[in-house]
Amino acid sequence: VKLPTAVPRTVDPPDAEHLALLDRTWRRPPGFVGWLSDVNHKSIGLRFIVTSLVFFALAGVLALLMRVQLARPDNAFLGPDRYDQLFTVHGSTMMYVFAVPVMEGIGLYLVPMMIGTRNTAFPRLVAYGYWTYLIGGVFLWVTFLLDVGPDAGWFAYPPLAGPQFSPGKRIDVWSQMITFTEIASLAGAVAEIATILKHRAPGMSLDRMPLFVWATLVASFMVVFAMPAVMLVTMQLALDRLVGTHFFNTVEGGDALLYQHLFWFFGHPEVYIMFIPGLGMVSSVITVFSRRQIIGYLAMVLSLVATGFLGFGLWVHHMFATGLPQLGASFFTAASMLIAVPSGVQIFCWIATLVAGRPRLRVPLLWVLGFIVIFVAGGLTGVFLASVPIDLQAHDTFFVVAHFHYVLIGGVVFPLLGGLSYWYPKATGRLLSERLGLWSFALAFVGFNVTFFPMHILGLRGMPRRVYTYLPETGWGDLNLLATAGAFTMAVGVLLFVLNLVRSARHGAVAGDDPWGGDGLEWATASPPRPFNFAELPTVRARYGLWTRAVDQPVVVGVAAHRPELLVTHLLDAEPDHRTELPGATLAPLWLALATGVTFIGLVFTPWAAVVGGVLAGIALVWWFWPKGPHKELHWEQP
Amino acid sequence: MSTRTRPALDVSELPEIAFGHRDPLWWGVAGLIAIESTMVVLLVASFVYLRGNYHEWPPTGFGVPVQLLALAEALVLAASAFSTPRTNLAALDGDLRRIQRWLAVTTALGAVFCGLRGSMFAILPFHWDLHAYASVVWGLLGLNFLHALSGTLENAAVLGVALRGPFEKKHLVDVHSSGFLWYFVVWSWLPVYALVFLLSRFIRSGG
Repeated sequence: VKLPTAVPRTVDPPDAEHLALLDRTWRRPPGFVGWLSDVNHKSIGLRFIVTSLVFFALAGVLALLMRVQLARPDNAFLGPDRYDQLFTVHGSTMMYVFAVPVMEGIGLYLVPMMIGTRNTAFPRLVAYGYWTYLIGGVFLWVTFLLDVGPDAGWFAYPPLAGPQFSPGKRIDVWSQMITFTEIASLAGAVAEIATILKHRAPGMSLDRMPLFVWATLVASFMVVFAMPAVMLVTMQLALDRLVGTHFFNTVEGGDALLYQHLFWFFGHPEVYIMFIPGLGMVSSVITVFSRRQIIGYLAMVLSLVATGFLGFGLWVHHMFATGLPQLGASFFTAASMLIAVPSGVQIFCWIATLVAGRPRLRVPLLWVLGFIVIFVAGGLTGVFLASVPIDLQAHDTFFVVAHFHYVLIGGVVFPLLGGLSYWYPKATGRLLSERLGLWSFALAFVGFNVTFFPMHILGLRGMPRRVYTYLPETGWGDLNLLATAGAFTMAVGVLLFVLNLVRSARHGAVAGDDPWGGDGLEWATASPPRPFNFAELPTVRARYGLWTRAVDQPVVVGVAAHRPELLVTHLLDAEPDHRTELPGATLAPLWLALATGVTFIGLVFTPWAAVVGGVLAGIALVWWFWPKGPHKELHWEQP
Repeated sequence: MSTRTRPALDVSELPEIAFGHRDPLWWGVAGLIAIESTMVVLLVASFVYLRGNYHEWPPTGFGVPVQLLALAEALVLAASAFSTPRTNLAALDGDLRRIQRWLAVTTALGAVFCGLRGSMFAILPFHWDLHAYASVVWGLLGLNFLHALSGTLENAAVLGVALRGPFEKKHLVDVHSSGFLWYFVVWSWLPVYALVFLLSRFIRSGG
């Protein structure tokens, strides 16, 4: 069948009436109910970002409390039970409730604009993801404040986390919190994949996609294949605890190591899921602030994809101390060292781009430079730890704590703060204060290194992680005090950053649509963007869509303005294919999320919650999908 | 914003629906299938992994009635692998009558399958809390039951729209997508069935 193709012709710019029509079509309904039923990618993205930053701050406070406790030997500021809850909720919040959701939020906010479309492919699914995430995060923190927070670490190994050694409901809270947050990540990832593959502006073939979009695509695919593992394993743990299955009960033929395998099959890719979007932000910032194209675009893309694949082949290096067969351990050592290669390639490309460009040392670039320093240091200790003999020495010591904070704060938080500084004017229409930004960067960078560098030494001197105190004779006191001082310095830096975000929203200098001379289509929208993003849907003819825009660059016309319609393009070359109508604002995702909430919170207490929640969810789903008027394009023969 | 007349790409003549990988919804369903397939594969991996903890495998037999039920289930599911492509072809042709007919067949087969699975749960000679093998077998049966139940409910809902209307053009794509999802239900179970009910004792212990 020969399908109709897009017809070239000339048009006049859209008039005010057309813009008003677009605005009516894409903006959310008025009032509080309208706010609850919003499905616009920018609203949902911002909600993810703001919520996860609140959780980031809360988990940061827990970190400070832990540092106060460890500041001197024999300290009685916190007891062992409270300390266990603290490090568990700190780790779980940072990993599940902050890092993954904040990256998801930024992706949801930016990707549709970067690829020149008006919303994600599945706006309601994304809204559902946000509400489940919110319920899960609040659930974790409410239980923690009620003193029934989880206390077996962010990975909750059995047998410690099993029914025998962790009676009560704390671990059940943890495993259901995982379900909530992973549902949210999976929903977001599926929506991102479909959006990126099917809604790119005409001309934006895969090899012209911005690197941030590539990073989001790779991370989303990793979510799809990694998150099911943690959903499965926490479900098995919950079943062991709730209905007496024996997945991890050694006495009845189960296996505690099976838990570790399944957990780390998720847990290692998780690290990359968190920082690959960060790498995308770094590429965006370096491109614009070096004022040149990135050097080695193809190498960068291949590195991201290679990291995505290799990330699934090294989970066992978290289990070197469990007595696995040596041959298997050697394989995972090799794989763990191999993954340093694509990361190294990207670092070299960034440095080359900076050297070959004319860098502007503004605050976003400073965060990125901080990232390069810290991340390289964390990567190097990662290469150490990939080696079995060193890992056996350093396992479960502060050396590991130092390593993963270098990787995660370096790889996630620094790029994130750089990215927030860079895109803040797009979302708010105002610039952040450069002076406050400088101070917050300096304090955070110095504070970070003063906190975590001494931990390498503490670890090598034998200080184990997850102890609530230590004896004076160990000699660990001074370095711990230094680390605590560093933590408070870093906290002041982060506080200044937040202050800057809040203050500049009202008092910052007006930014205009494109304050940095940006390369991507997101800078072709207004600041803050209108609900429909683009008055005229763009086309691109090369990478860096805005920089390479022709004087007479064609626009797309013929996409309906009176209803929420998107252009669908072909997967590889982004040629126009067809148009599709999106569902509008609705409360259905919220109801479904509440039904999900009843199910999984109920499952902490009784297996019957699955039945009740299943029925509720069924009702919500039917209500969601059942066709409601007004109807259009009726099929010719109606029943 | 420019005030000039400029070249434009007019897409108003392009169709409003497309099937298969051209359709964004197809990618959504593909993502869901990838997620659920990963769950199944990892649960099968758990099954094989736990083999290493036993001398005798399987430690407990199913007995003839359960084996017969499992075979009947597999046959019903295999039969639905013949009705599903007919539904999908009808959707591509836009033939509502054929959609109604074949989708009703698939939905009915799905309902029968779920009923058979329900009876199997009732007569299985062991409960999930007997030992780890029992847990993982119940896990595999339960996960697949959830897949089959949700697939059947989805088929039933789409069938409801096809029978009662109003049937919009875009619902043709929904028919096609729910067929895609049902293929997953079929093909994620048949190999697991073969492994658990027929080939289990041929899995060798690693150690």
